[in-house]
Parts: sequence; structure tokens; C-alpha cells
Amino acid sequence: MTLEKPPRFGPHPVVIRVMVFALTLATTALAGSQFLQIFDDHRAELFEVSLLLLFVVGFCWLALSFWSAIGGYLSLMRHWQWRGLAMPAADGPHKALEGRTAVLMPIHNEDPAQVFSGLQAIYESLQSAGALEAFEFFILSDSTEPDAWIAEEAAWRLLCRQVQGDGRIFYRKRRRNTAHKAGNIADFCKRWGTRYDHMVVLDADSLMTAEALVALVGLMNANPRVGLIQAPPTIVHAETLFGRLQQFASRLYGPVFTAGTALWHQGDGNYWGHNAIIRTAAFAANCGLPILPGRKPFGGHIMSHDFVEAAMLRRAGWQIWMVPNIGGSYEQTPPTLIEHAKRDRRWCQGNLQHMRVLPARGLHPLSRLHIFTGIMSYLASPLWLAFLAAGISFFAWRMAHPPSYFAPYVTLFPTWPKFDASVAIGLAILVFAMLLAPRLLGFAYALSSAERRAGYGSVGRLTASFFIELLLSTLLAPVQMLLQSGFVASILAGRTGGWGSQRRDGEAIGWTEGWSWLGWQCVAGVGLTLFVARAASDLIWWLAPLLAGLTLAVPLTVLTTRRRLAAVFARLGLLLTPEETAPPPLLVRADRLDATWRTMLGRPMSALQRLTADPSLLALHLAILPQHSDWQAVDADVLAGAREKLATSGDPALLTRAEVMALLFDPPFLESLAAGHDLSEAARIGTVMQPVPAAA
Amino acid sequence: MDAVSVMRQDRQPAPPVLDLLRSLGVSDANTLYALAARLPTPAADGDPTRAARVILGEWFARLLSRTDLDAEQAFLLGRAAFVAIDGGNRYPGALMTEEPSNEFRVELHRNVPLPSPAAAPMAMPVRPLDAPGILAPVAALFRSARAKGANVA
Repeated sequence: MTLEKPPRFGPHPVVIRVMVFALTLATTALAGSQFLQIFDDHRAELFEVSLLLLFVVGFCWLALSFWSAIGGYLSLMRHWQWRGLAMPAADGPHKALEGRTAVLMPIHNEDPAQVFSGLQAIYESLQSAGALEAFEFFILSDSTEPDAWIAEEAAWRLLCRQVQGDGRIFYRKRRRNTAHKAGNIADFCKRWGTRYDHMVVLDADSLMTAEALVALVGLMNANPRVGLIQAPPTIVHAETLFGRLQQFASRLYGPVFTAGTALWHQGDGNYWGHNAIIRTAAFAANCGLPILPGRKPFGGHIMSHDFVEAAMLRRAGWQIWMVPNIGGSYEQTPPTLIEHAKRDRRWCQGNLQHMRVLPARGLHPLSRLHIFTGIMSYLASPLWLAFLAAGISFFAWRMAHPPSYFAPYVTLFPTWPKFDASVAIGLAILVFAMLLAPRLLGFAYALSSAERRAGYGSVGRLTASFFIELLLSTLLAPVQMLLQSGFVASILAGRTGGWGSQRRDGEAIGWTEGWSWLGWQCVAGVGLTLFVARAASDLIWWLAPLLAGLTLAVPLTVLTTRRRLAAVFARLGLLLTPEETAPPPLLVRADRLDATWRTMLGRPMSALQRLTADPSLLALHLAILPQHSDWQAVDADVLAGAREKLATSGDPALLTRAEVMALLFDPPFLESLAAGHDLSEAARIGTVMQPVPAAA
Repeated sequence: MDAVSVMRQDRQPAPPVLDLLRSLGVSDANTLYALAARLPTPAADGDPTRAARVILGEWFARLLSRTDLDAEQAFLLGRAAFVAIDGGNRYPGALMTEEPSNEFRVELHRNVPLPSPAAAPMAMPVRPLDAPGILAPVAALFRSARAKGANVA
């Protein structure tokens, strides 16, 4: 782990927390009281109260991020170190690496070339660092696509051969992906937990350097009360303009954000689901997730498990830390707005489900705050939308109903409906400034060192990129607001979404697809612009970013998926990140390996095609089948249907995905394939080739 | 005499036994019959394929020094290694011999798949996330229906 300067301790965590919350509440109270000064119209009290409530909730949230970012900036600039987290002794990695660590790669219908090239790069990095002995690797497959599953088996075997990783790189498939990733990790703990002191949980697109992994293990060994350490990942490998915007924003503003949260979270931190090290025994003892009573989307398995697991670990007394300066921790981002929205839909459901967990007994107050933050990150959109709708309606109503200064009864005193535009403008400027401040602080932090400036190209390129990102993210924000509001509404209405795998490639979105997803937002944007121009024209300039964003939703979405456009930006040195200007060796190696793996794995093939074409893979598949979890849980009807269909037609294309899966879990069928029978014969005669039941 | 007796040369091997040997990558008919002849034959009411898998499994376990495995596991892993090295074409005579060549042994060893380490189970009890009584009504707001089942691990 590299620290830029000798660390010094920051203020005591209690002081920091008190300050963050006190400043948040004070700012909110001040802004709320100013808001009250704007209106005084007895005819519109309902509007006023609604607007005030929505403003206060939204502003409180904004103020918390603002003060957190201020803390993060101070922490970064003053090189504050955390109290309570001992740094490993600097006597070489071998002392720090006591114990055994499992590196877990849970996957679900992923691109095998990406998964296995990444794993190989991590493996080689540990090998070069002389730290490999302390680590073992698990590919934990939850793939439900037969083709993906068999490709993974082939890739696992190839990887073991490439790096001579037999006995160190393991592969396990679950027949049923119960409880998704949480269930996948739980299955690992139940089967092999006592073998490992720690587990590093990755995502399919995660990359971590040996230095980061060794530092994490060292920190765990030096801090026996720590249950989990999160290494914040940096976004890399973005190839579309949308991806590059996300990558640039997270790289520029991320350090301030993570340093800020780490500063006041300290040992009561959170878990982001991957790129983190976990004490296996503590996790297994405390993080067995219950099935929530009731139906989906609020009942059932807990979908967003990470926040809940962190809360459960903390409840049991284990510390959770985020260490922002650990470095060497990477991930990827969805390449398009649509893919981003699909992921958001899943995360939205997972976070809203946490409403059920929020009041759980015994949780640490900060754990509740983390969970609440997750919920609010999605509820903020409908709140913002409601605020805008109420504000526009109020203005439209005022324009349509000029004030009547004298009541219908006889009175000497006229009533003066009040609207103080100067206070309103002042507050609007304050809100924009607080929204912008974390970005400006990230920008200022990047400018404050020659090395960091060079990482973004130059001062000029960094400045231009900052404004481009600001413009485009401002335009995209209302699009995402409407999407998220729709997600929240559909989830609250009881509609559940899938938990499918993420498309991580950079395939462009066409105009038709873009229109089918977001055409309604363009129509809404045009309609709203006409309405505001007619009914609340005073607001048109204030609402210009919103109206422009919605009206341009489709072109923005489509054009930001174009790789060529992204390449133009890259050629001009715009939206560059330090990982692009001076790529770390791990990323360079992973890139090269990715190309090699694509060649090695060849063109995509169906599972049955691949197995029949490769007897060695078929024998391997049969050999490792009994070691997969729940492999014998046969759905007899599906299997019988598959056999009959295949025996009659011989055409695997007629089989459903479930039928192919049933056959791939059926040793008699596979045995007869291995004996050289064709698919049709194998389906017919496989039943007579029963293997010996495995010993109990 | 134990449950199996040595197969007589004049007896035709059962088709499933030939299939089993084919699954090892052996395609030549003469070799197939010669290998089948090396297999013991089960008692009249026994299953020849099962007996052959056990014999082959025990042979692979001895060769790979994996006596921790049962015969079926050893057969599956050994067969995977044998097919991976194209043993059916390169070392067909080595199957079921007591002293196969060192080269064959080394290559076979190197190609045995190890999909997972030995079991090292750890308990992972389900931990409740119930709301305290006073907050239960809040939690219930987000419960669309009664639970169909109790919490399970």
C-alpha cells in the first residue's frame, strides 16, 4: 500500500461525525427558513407545504454529500490517517501474508474471455510479487445459460494449463442460483469456509493488483477486530462515450467522495459487494441472510446483499473499513445508458427492499444510515420529480390566477400574496453551488499536483473534460431521474424485475432501440417545454437543463454509445484518466490477455455442439459434474421431455434452455455421448448407461 | 472366488462395456476387444459396466496415488486426464497394466482436473433481521403478503 506522505491522524471520529451532521442540519435549517420566506399566499398553502417538505428532504441529502465532500477534500489534502486501523508492519509481505485467502470470482452468464483474462492477470500479478502461495482462486459459477457454463469449464481448464494453476484455481457451478450472489458466496463458505482465513470477493469485471491484495491481507492480519475492508474500485476500460463519462467522473470526483465517507464512517463503514476482503469466519457466523417474509419485490431473498451483510457484521461487533488510498482496485461500468438503467432497475429493487431491513433489531446507527442512503439514492429521483412538478404547477397556477388584493367581504386591509424572487434565486444558486461543490473539489484536488494533472492529460484538457462531463451529465441527469422514478413506482406497485447478468460489452444502441426505450422522454420534454413556455414562462431558463435533457434523451443515449465518438474524444485527449495516460501493468496485461483469450476460446458455440466436438471437454465435464452444488437435483419431467425431443428430432436447436441444462446435468446421456453416440442415440440409450452412484 | 471372475476370451463383451472403453477415447476395434478382455466379468446377475467402472476407477486411483477417492470419482477424474492426453491413441496399451511407462504416469498426473479442494465445511446460520415489536408495523408496510415458508438456510 502506498501512502503519498507520512500519515497523520485526522480529528477524532466522533468530532467528525458531530460536525458533519451538525453542519448538515444547520445548513438545511437555514435553507428551509429561507424557503419559507419565498411564499406567502394564503390561497396556495397546500402547494407551499408540499414544496417546503420536498425541498427540506432533498436539501438535507444534498447538504450531507456537500459536507462529506468538504471533509473528503480536507482529508486528502492534509493526508489524514484513520484512527483505529493499524497499518501492517513494514517487514515484507511474507509476515503480512500469514493465513490463506480465497479470491472469489462469482459469475453469472458472463463473457468467459473477460473473466478468465482478468483472473489470469491477477494470478500472474501475485506470482510476480511472490505472494501466490497465500492465495487460492475460485470461479463460482451461477450461470443459467448452458453455453456460458460449458464455455466456462473449457476456459477454466485452459487457465489451469496456461498458468499451471491446478490445485490453486478451482471451478464450481451451482445447479440452482438460489439467492443469487449472496447464495453463491454462502455456498462457498458452507463448503470450504474453514480452509480460508479471508476471502476477497470480486465481480466478473474486477481487477486487483497483487499489491492491493497483499495490502488487504496485511491489514486484516494487523487488525483482528476488522471483519471487512472495502477497496474502492476505479472504473477502467470504458470504450463508449457514456462509459468514458462515467469513468472520468468517478476518477475525478471519486477520491473526494470516498475519502469523505471513509473519514466519518471510520470502522462503521459499508460494503459495496466486490473488491473487498472479508474475514471468512466472521462472515459465516453473522451474515446468513434470512428470506424476508412476503412476496417479491419486498419479500423473498435479499437481492442487494452487500449493505445488509456489512450491517450484520457490524452488528456482531466487527469493524468495516473503507481504505480509499489502497489503489490497484478496478472495475468496469455499463457501456450505455440503457445498460446502466437495467442495472439501476436491479439495484433500485434491491435497495427499496432494504426498507424491510432498516428497522431490524440491533443494527448500528451508521449501518442504518448506509441502508437509508441506499434507499434514498433511488427515492431522491421521485422526490426531485415531485418537487419540480409541484413547483411548475404552482407557477402555472399563479400565472393563471392573478392575486385578488381585496377579499369579497368589506375590509380596509388588502391581502398581498408574497413571492420573493430574490430569495428564490438566492436559494437556487445555493442549491446549484452545493451540487457543483463536490465536483469542483475533485477538480481542485486533481489540479493540486503535477502528477495528477499529467494523469488527466494537461490542465487544459482536464479543464475542458471537466466542462464536457458537467454539460453531458447535467443533460443526462433528468433522463435518469425519470427512469429511476419509473423504477421506484413500478417496484412500489409490486412489480418485480429480473436479476439478469449485465452486458458489459460496448455494443452501440441504434436509433430505433433508443427511441423505443426513451422516445416517451423526448415527447415529455417537448410537451413540458411547450407547457412551461405558455403557463410558467418565468421558469423557462431555470428549467432549461431539465427540458433540454428530456428533449434530447434519444440522441444523447444513442450518440453516447458510439465507440467512434468516444475514440475522437480520446484522440483529442479529452475525458482521459490517469489509468489511460499511464496504464498500470495489470491493466496492460489484462488487455493483452483479453485478446489472447478471445482467440483461444474461438467463436461462440452451443454447449452440446462444444461437448460433442471436444471429447476431452466432455470427459472433463463428466468428471467435475459430481462436485457441483446440488447437481443431482433433477427435474425428471424436463429431462424426460428433453430426451424425447432429442431422440425424435436429433436437433438440439429445438430444446429449451432448461432442457439443455437438464441434459448437461444427466450423466447417462453424457456417458453415451462420450461413447461416441450421436445426440439422438445418446438421448435414446443413455438411460441404460448408469454410472455408479457416488459414495456418500 | 469373489464377485467377479475373469472374463473368458471367447465371450463377447457387453455393448455398454465397449461404450465405456470408447468413452476413454479408444476407437480401434482390436484394442477395444483386447481391453475388454482384461476386464473381469461380473457374476451372472451383476452389471458389467458397473464392474468395469469400479475396476478402472481402482486402477486410476492406484496410478494417481489418490486412494482418498472412491472408485467412481477416481474413474471420472482418471478418464478426464486420459482423454485430455489423447491416451486412447497414444497409450491404449497402458490401460489397466500394472507397470505403465513413467512418461504416461507423469502426463496423466499432470492432467488430472482438480475442480475443488477437499471439503472444509463451515456453519453459516441464518441470522434474523426482525424489527423490534415497536417497529414491526413499519416493516409490515412493505410486506405484500404473508410468508409462504419459514426462513431457511
